[in-house]
Amino acid sequence: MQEQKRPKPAALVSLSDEEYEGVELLDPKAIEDAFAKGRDARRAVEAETPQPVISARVRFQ
Amino acid sequence: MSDHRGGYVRPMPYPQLGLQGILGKSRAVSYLNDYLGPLGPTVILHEWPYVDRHYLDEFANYYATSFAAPSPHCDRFHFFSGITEEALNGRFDRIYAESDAETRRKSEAELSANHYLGFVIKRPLPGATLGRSVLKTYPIEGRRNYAVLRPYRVNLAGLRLEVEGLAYQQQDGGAAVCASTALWSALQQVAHMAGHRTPTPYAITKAAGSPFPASHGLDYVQMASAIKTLGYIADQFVPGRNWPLFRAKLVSSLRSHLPVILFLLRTEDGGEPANAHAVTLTGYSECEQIVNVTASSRHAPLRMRAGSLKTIYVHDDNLGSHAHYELDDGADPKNSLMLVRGRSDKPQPAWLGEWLRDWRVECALVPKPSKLRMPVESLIGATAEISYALANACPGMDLDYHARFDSGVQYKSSLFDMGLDPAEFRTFQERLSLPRQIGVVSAYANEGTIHVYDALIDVTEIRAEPSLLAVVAPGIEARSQAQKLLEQICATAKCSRITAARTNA
Repeated sequence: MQEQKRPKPAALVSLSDEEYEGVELLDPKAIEDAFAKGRDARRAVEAETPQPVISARVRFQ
Repeated sequence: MSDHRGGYVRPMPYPQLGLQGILGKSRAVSYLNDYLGPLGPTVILHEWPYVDRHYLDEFANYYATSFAAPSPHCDRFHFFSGITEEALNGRFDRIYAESDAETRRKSEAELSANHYLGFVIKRPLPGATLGRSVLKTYPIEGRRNYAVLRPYRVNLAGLRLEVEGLAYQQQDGGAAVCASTALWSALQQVAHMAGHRTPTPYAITKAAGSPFPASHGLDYVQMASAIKTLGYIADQFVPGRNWPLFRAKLVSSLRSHLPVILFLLRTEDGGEPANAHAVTLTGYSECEQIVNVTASSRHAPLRMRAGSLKTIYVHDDNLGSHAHYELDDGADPKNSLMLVRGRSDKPQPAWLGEWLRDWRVECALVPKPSKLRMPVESLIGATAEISYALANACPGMDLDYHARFDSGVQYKSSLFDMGLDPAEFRTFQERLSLPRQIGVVSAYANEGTIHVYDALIDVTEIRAEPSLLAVVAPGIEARSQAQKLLEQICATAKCSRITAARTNA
């Protein structure tokens, strides 16, 4: 059976001029909060990265 | 004085029984037979003598001082498909008779594109005959992604052919073992990216600074030091207990066209490693599933297809080029991530059997051009950052992510194929100034079928804030909700943005 193609999410599709004008802008604090959360996530990813522990006695040959 | 008039280039039909009669019997030659078979070779050109810079350096610094020194000269064998010996001869005759340089170049390019499969150098080293070899890869067929390839110009009796591949050679066990050979293959790509001449295996062994003979191998730190001494930088990461994240880092490196050296161990009865081996990854087969990748224990996982990586293509100096290997979680999740030499869907070929089949994946080392200072873990970190920072532009969407490094110039060229808004395109291109190296975090919707946006990140500064340079959104149409919100977010971040054209104008 052929897989049904999923429609493009509505938020990505062009609106009429009227609909577009009606789109509410974000609260600037929500944008700053998202940036802060992103920076925190990035630092957490870097901090949690384990480092290699290969003995110097192991020779790759 | 040697006679330079005795060289030749001789065509011969590709032997039906394989290349053992030409290159000798070894596991590597058996692999080569199996690899070339599906490419349909019909004719071989035998070129003699061939002076290979990489072998000559080993000869001058190692073999020349042996009691029974081998010859400094090699044989080179060129492989062609879809053409008979007679037709190939005819092509060569016509190219040599052509006085117009442009027509000659066109004929050479046509021969390269449609018939040339690459070359294998035969070294005069019994037991390690396969010297520098560059072979064409298999067709992509929607799944194969040979990400670590570069063009090689091949000068053959005054003609200029070209093949895209990555040089491979068998370890000789004397002047170079797997450590320097894996580095050598990897640096073929990185030197090309940096615009440098590729180092020889001997130069790599020397750069590692080991006090022991090359046959003792190199340890991990010596290999990383060789990368630094030769003018590049090294990145590293380990599987630990987070294998989806390790897989995502492997794919991110490969999608960045960076070779990855995998360090492999085999331990007998839990004691000291019985075997240690290093191989170079050249590509991967498209990952089938989008999985959750936990990059930080305190934050939501990232949805990444790369986290389900299974099949990788490997230059293994004990076997051959672009070999199909598989990553395997194994039955016991408390065990290590394993690398299986071969495929799980077919029995191993008889000539290979179960020879050193399963290896524990210990670590990955990625040589990079020196300006690419951001480690791959920070690129994954940046992906997490972007997933939060731009989430408000794509409300209610379950996006999945890919991350890679790219060159600023190459990325700007690729914009022409993205179907971006023509009303803004020229201005965007003219205004956008990118560094030589950038990070690209790509977000997709509808299970990877819609490319929503690329977030471009500055990777020349590790701690650059804000690091967001621009957002390119081919999946967001102009005058859409997402475009309006993205515009607001980008204005706050002081970065450029471009979307696709309006579709309902």
